[in-house]
Amino acid sequence: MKTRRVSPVSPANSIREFVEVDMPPAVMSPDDYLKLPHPYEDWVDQPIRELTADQKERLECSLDGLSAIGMIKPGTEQEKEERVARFLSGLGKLFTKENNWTFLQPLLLSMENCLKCQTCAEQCPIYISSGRKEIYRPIFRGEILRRIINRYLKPGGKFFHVLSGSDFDLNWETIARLGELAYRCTLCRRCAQACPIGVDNALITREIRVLFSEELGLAPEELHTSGSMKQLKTGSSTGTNPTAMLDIVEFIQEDMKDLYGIDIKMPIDKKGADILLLHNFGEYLSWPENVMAFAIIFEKAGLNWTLSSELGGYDSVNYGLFYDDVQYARVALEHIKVAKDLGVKKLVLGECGHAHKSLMPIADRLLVDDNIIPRESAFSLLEQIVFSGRIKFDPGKNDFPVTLHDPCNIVRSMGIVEPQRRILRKLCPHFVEMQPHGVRNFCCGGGSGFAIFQGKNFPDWRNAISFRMKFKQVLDAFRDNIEPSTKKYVCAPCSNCKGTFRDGFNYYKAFEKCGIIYGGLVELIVNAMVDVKQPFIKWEVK
Amino acid sequence: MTLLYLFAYLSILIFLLLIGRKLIKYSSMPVHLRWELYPVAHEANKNEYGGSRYEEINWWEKESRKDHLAELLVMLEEIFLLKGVYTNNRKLWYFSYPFHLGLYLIIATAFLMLSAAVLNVCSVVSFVDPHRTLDAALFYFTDVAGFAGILLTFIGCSGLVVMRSTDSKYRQYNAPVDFINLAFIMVLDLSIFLTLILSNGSFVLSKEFIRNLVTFNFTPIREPFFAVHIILISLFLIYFPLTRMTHLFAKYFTYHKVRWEDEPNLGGTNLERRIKEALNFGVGWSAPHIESGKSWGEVATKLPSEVKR
Repeated sequence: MKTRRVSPVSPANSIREFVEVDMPPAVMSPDDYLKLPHPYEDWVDQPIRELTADQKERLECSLDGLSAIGMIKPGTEQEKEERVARFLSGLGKLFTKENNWTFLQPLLLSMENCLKCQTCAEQCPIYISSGRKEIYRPIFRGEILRRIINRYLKPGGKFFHVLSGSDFDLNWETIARLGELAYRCTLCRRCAQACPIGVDNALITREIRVLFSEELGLAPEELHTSGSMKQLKTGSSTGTNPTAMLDIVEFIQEDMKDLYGIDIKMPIDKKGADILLLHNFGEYLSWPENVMAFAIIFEKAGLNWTLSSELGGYDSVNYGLFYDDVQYARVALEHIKVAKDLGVKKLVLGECGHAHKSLMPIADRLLVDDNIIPRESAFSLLEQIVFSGRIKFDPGKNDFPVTLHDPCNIVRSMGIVEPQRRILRKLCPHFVEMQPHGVRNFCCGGGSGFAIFQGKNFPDWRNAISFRMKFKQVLDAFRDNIEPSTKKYVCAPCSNCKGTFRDGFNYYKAFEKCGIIYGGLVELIVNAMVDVKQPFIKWEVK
Repeated sequence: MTLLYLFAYLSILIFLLLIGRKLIKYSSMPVHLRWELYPVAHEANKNEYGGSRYEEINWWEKESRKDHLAELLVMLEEIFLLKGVYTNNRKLWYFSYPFHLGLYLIIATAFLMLSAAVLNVCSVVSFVDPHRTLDAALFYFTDVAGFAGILLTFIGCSGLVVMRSTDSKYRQYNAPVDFINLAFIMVLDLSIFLTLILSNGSFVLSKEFIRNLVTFNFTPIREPFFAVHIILISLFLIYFPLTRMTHLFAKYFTYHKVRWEDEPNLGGTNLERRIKEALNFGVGWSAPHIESGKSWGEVATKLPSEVKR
């Protein structure tokens, strides 16, 4: 894919500066951002808002003026020294099998074998969209970590540090910046895919997050306190408890009847059902039509299925995947327990990318004995239903351009590429692929938790920079019908991706300027069903 | 002069020990969580577009089919054509490819010399004075491969040094040790070239030296430049395993043990046994929510104390 090169290399923020106490924060200049195609030639991005004076005073934000983690600055020099010591202690633990067997082998291979060939750089949507800011270069954070290791952990590091480029004294400010920098990468792994050696800079980034969380107790509030912790307490990272979940299902059923004349009672906590369907709870709250669509399809297909109202049974979210292996394991085991208690034959994941990856491949090496319960993607099941002839479809009802966004976790990390495409090719006569697509796709920009970071000025950065490449892809895919009078649909079958599209499309006024909306896969399936008389897709800003 | 031979033996021994240690380190690690990346080359019928068995309904009931030939082809393309660099970083490939091809040819030359020495000991070839077809083929092919290797390595290595020292996107990420590695290879390359020039356009001295090594015949080395050459090569053999140049071995693990490692845990297997072993490791992280001091299995199944239901 051709992208406009703004400047070969941003001269600011070199490695040398990064390890100093006082690094001038990187400045995001809208003029440097990746240029967007028609009708955005004259689009003027708003500068990313500055943190308030109080926030600047309290929070570590010297990387680029953002604070994803919300790290409070240490009050005294002694506190700083203690944190440096704890960081180094944690860094050592990261390379022990007892503390980090989960990713030790891939991490060590990536740390020891990067040749700094920069093949990864042009694969990174954040690096390119930002105007190639040096700090966002995929190898930047890995290289900082490598030099710290060479200096402080490797035998002889004190004597050979000049040779390895590690001739600096580690300070808290550098560590704080490194922690923040771990939250400027969506872990999409496009860089890893291009690396000729197989080095995975996204994994290195993730492991920096793990070190910060598991040793220093530092993680973004959205992921930890209001994320995995809240989920363990209440059953959902949204704070919805089982009673409220049942009420919400009631509302959705009523809406389904009122809006579409479809009267379905969703099965809940049905023991011995074949399938436990697990949604991201964001669907219930923000996109209830997705929950409805699944229910309509499953009921029309005659499946023996159920939802669960048990703790751990109604929210597939597992933010631990992004930052903390222990929290990840706790949440995953809660999910599995519910499936086991219900005695279902399989657990099916709804349209949520990280939930797919979390419960299918990643949990695979966590589950033993009777916890090994089959887990399946809804895409495979939906494909079977659509092609089984059990439901009648009229593809003519989807008479509008459709393009497909590939969630990284489902496609690049799991290889589920074709089922969703075969459905779209059958039901959407104007389906068009983005370029690149499939396993070479670009991330939506909301991966690894970014979609739910709504605090401070992070959304400004996400909309303008991390979502930008995806938005360009959407515009390119629809370039032949870009006028707003032709309504167009981006199929984004993942809750976090949809959250990113929602905010990004509002930022760029995609509906007003181009007539583009986003939604899931099941909505398109139901929209094409002959039995559903009302149009299921609503052409409005979400 | 016997010392030179002993140093050569020692360097080979150290090389093998250090490489062996690295291979054991990488291969004896505990099982890790799945972290594959698609396309996975051995996924039968799906590798072209990057699909996996997860695409299939009730995938756990289906027999796993691996396309080993496809995997081999991807490996060969990657090893001998550096396809990944060609596709994603063409400018670098123009130097990286001749550099690697040159090194392959130099390694091949060394193996040809070793083969010729062994065959000569077995009286199959006459070694330095070829009369028969096999003798001549071995003799001249060694020279051609060696010369081409020297030339290509020189071109590639020079280009890489220039790129890495002048292009800012490489320069600041390259520590002095990275330049030392390239410089060492360049010096070695020049020393091989000198042995070629100073032995009348053939690797007669090298061939004889290797034959002497094989037969434990410590004939004195009369040419000082050749003695220096042997010392350089021996030092390189000791130095090489300590550097990132071992990526040629590490690459096996990054691909086969991470990127393409998609074995599902279906229970009752050796994999499940290894997972159980890992779940017994003690957790020592210090953050309050971890509540360390217990095994992974215990920590993961117990809610943190701040969670009150």
